Amino acid sequence: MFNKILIANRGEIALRVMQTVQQMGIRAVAIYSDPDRAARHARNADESYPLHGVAAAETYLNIEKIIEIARSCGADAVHPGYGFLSENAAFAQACIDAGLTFIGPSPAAMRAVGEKLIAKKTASAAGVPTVPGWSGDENASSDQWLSEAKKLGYPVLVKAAAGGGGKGMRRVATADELPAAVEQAAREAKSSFGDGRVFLEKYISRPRHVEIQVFADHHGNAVHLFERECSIQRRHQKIIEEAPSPAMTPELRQRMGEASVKLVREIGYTNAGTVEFMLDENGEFYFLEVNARLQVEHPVTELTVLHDLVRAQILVAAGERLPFTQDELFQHGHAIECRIYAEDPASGFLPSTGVIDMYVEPRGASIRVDSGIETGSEVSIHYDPMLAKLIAWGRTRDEAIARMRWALRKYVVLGVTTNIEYLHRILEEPDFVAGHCDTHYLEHHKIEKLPDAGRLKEALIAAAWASTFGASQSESPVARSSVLPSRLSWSPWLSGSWRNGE
Amino acid sequence: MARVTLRDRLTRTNHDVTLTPCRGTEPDDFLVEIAGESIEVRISGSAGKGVIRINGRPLPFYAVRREDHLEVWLDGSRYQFEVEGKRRRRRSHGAVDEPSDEVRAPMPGSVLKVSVSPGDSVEANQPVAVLESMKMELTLNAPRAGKVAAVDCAVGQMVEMGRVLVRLEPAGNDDSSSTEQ
Repeated sequence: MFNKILIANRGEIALRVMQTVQQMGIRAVAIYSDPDRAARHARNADESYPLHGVAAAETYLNIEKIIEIARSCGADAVHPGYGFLSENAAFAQACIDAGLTFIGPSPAAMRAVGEKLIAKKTASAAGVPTVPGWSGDENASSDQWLSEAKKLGYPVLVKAAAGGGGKGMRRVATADELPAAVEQAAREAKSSFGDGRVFLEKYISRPRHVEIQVFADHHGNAVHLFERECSIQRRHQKIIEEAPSPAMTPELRQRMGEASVKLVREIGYTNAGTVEFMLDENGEFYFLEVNARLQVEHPVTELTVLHDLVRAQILVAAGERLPFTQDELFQHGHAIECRIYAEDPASGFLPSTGVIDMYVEPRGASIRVDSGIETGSEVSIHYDPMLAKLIAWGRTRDEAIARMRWALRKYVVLGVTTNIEYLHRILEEPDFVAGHCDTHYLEHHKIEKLPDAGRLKEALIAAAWASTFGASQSESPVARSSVLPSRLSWSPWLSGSWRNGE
Repeated sequence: MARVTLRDRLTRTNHDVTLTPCRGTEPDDFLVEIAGESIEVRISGSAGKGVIRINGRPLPFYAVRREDHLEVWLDGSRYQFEVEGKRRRRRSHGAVDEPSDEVRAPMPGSVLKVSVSPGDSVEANQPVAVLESMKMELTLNAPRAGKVAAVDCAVGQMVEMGRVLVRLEPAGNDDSSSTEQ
């Protein structure tokens, strides 16, 4: 077993991984950028080392720096978390070359699934249903694109081969929109991923995003840990996830699970991964992609399947057998996760930056909060605006929803704007409560974006009292050159629209 | 007695609140005058945390102050106020409440696109420029209807936060006979 694991990440996931590492009696090493030097993940580790820099490129994405720190502190393994370098085959290889164990799939497996078209072909060859499409051709003429799209039937989706997070993606409703869409998507893909190749897929209307958690070890064991549904998305960013999926039947679950395990074996994939599918209105499922990492929403699986997935990752990476067999796995109750973002729904979901002047998490039985922040934390433009994940478990979906609503109403964040009230409203929507979700839910349901001013009178009295007698005085400076003052999120001229890349 | 004028950032309206400690009863009792009403309130707390009781019903709250900016969390919602009276007219980015003549860069980045020229008429919320930063694209819109007076940036240019990118003619001054260079 490892003696020391370096966690190549920050924020909530670094803390969450650190918890398991330390609970297993292994020393945890943190790395931190300049703005993160007092962050919780840096302080809670057994050892922590500076990355000397601010932007991700010079810090959490800097392979050389990270490998050097791992080597010099004597770490024997690296956990990449999610995002950053977690699906970077070059990083995984660099770890291996430096004599470190990379806690995740092999570089070859990452490459096999990282390129969407190849992944789709592999899935198809493994008998996994895929979305009807055309793989595209950089030299194809407009006419050829048009004829392929016509074969699929409109609407179609233009997607980036190397893409993710909605970048390089365009929905095309009619033939005359197609040439421009292909060109724009290719340009966006080139600038975001360095690869301008695009392909076509039939557009599935009202799809549900259902994914299967998979796990495989180096002894030939491969299992699935059932599904998660992640249909509530805003601009391709998941904001609410749950397990089990309200749309699942035992038969569908078994078919999707078996298809996922088959794909895992076909690729020779090891460690944790997720196979993403679209589920259409008729109960047909189509392969989307494989994510070669532990996902943000893994807690909803952990709370229903009752296994620590990070622990399983470490065991597998250390050469041990999976700590569970398919027969031993079952789903227990229902878990829902809400992602808390520092953003302002009322002004187009602009990221909100500033200092978190007051932070109080909801606490209670069946409430889990995975967070990297605290009172005094600074939220900057340099990193992802996700502050925390709030997860609630219940014996039934209704109970989980009730607990989640309670928790959202207890969650205190002052100093930056968050989507907490917006999330609460989604949780009250009749369609959501009935489980009628699809990935266009937020486009088709009008959800109030302004904060709830229901207790304005009481808030004014509290504010008046506080301004005279007892507000907590914020000591940190209002604005620094690298931080967007939080008041900007309310400014009337800041009425632009914001698109976030993954 | 304390009288405070608070400006609600959401609705941009002012509210006067007067707090008078009620002598002779509990130390936390106040008589509050707000919106023409007089209410008996018990408020206690410190270090940003408190409880307000009206008609016996307790409501926990949190309050933080940063200069003239006051934030309150109460019953699941966040409220933002400015303390008026001591309010200094701030020329910094964002403290402007009236529609502005300027479209400024809200963050450092590079100008990806400019879709207006001097002399163009624009409508409120019409896109005028696109800024790129941190792998995100931000479309900047005209704050009000008007006429473009000047474009102070170029495509490909790196701009700092607060930099004015597009200026509009002052409101009421945008008939076609006046063109400012």
